[in-house]
Amino acid sequence: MLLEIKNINKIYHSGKVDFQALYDINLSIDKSEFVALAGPSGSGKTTLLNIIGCIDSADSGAVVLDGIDLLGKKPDELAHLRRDYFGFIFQTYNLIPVLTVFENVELPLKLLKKYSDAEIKDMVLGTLKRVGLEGLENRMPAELSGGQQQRVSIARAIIKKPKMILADEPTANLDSKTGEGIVDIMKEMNHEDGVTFVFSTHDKLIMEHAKRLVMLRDGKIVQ
Amino acid sequence: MKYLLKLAIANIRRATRRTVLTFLVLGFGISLYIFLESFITGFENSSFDNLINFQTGHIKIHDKNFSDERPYALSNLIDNYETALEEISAKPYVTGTTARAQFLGELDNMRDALAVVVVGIDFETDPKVYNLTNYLIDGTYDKNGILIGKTLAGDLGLKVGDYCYLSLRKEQGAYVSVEKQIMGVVNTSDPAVNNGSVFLDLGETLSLFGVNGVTEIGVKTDNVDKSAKYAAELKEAFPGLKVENWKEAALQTIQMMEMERKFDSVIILFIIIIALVGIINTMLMSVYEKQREIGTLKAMGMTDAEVMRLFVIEGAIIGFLGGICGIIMGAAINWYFAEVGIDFLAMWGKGDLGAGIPAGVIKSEWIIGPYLYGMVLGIVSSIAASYYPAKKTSRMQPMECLRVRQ
Repeated sequence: MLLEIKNINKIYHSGKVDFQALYDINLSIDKSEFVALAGPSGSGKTTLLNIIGCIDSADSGAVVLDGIDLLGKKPDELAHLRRDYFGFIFQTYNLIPVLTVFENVELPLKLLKKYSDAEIKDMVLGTLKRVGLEGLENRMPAELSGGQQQRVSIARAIIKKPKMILADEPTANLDSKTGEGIVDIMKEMNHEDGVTFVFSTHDKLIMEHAKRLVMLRDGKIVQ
Repeated sequence: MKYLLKLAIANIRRATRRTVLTFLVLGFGISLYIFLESFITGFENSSFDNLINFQTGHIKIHDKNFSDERPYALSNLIDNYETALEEISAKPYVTGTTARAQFLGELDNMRDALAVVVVGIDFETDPKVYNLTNYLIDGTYDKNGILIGKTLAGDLGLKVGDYCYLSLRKEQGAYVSVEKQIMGVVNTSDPAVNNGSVFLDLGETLSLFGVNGVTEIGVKTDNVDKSAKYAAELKEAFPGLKVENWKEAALQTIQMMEMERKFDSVIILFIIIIALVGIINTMLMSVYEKQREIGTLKAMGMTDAEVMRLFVIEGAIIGFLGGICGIIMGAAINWYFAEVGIDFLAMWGKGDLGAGIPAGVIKSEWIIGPYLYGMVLGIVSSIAASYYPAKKTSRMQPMECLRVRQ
């Protein structure tokens, strides 16, 4: 078991109004799974994904990652867990606009501080080739199409070979053909490298690719 | 660390115009600091030179009962000054000694009269302690007549070769008037000398005033920096005399300069605060603009400390660039004032701002301190300005940063 979520609840406080985004969520994810979190907007997909990835915290319940209970972990401990375990793909790509494609992709390796510059160069160029961005390493993000930017985002997420990649609506900003291409790359990584993928989507075509579908509605798992 | 530096440089280049404006503001503040420090140092050095060259020498000696409040009184004189001069001159560190007698009198051009300080000097030994001869602009340094300051000569319409009357009151109370020829005119950087001093042979001065003693003995030593130590030795050797090193003798002037420096420090502080506000503004905007990116970096595993370091490096780079800019601008401003200077005589006219405050052209000094401090100030203040926004952002949860709409 790579991840186990037990009875988590999440409430957002906005002024005097409280909004409960998740209700008693229980979920287990094994290694090498390819899981889609599906549901309409506001169903709690992104919130659940963020809690899984330790970039947000639950108000109650437990999250156990690879046997490590995340409850009460300090910010720096969570940062190290994110660095070691997760890769993130965002709906809006979230590339650093002032860095080139190469520099964006190398960032997770720089944060790991484990590789030499020569090793990083080989790994970045290899990964860019794998996602079909060979030759674009010196481009700035603004010089790329949405599909290309998302591929950079995927390259950035997979380069450090994380145990789990979390993708929040990775195809939402792309046309269907480009979106299919992105999902194909994700599936290939999952199949060849055994990387666990958990992604949120409300696109039925994309859901069809998932090996496991978790349906959410109004903050609850319904299927 | 290298990648943080790379990221910080990339961030700085993102808003080039804003960054340039920020380090120009910082640079301007630093350049003013450099200039003010250099000019004040030049001003002080000129003032100290004035004091030493025209008023105190390295060590000034009076009678034990001499009163600073009545410096021109005909009492409390050093009567046995010739013996004292001999004994002081015998000290190995003494390079020159001279006696002076300063009393009040009146200089009359037969139409108008002005109050003056009659300074009796030994024309032979005086140049060994004081610098009057270097400032002779007309005539000769001749003990058979009198030397007067340029402004005084102008005020009374006198020139070299003219005759005038020197009137004074003798020790015994009688008024005396003596006709003297003007042998020379001096234009020093000391307004007190220029505006109201008449230099006359010491022997004649004592005879005119009917006294046997001098008001002071000036001493020049082999090292002005050791004047306090030498003065202490002389104090022990001459318990009947009041021995002061030049700093003690010019205490009031030095205290006034210290007050001025404090006032200047306040001005410098204001300049720095203005520059700091600019940096804080830049850093706040920079941090706000980058919150989503910080969220992404934190999601990738960047720690709070690394986020903090990123902004601190950014602040340090802006500070460094501001420092370089400030040094270049400061050196340029200082170059002008070190070469051309400010003509205080032209600014103040003949006004005397107090003993030792120089007249004439005051030039800035070239001193390394303000440049180094300026650079350190730039970097430290920029880092300090970055600290708050950096700390605030570094403590935010990744999701809080990512949720920011831009």
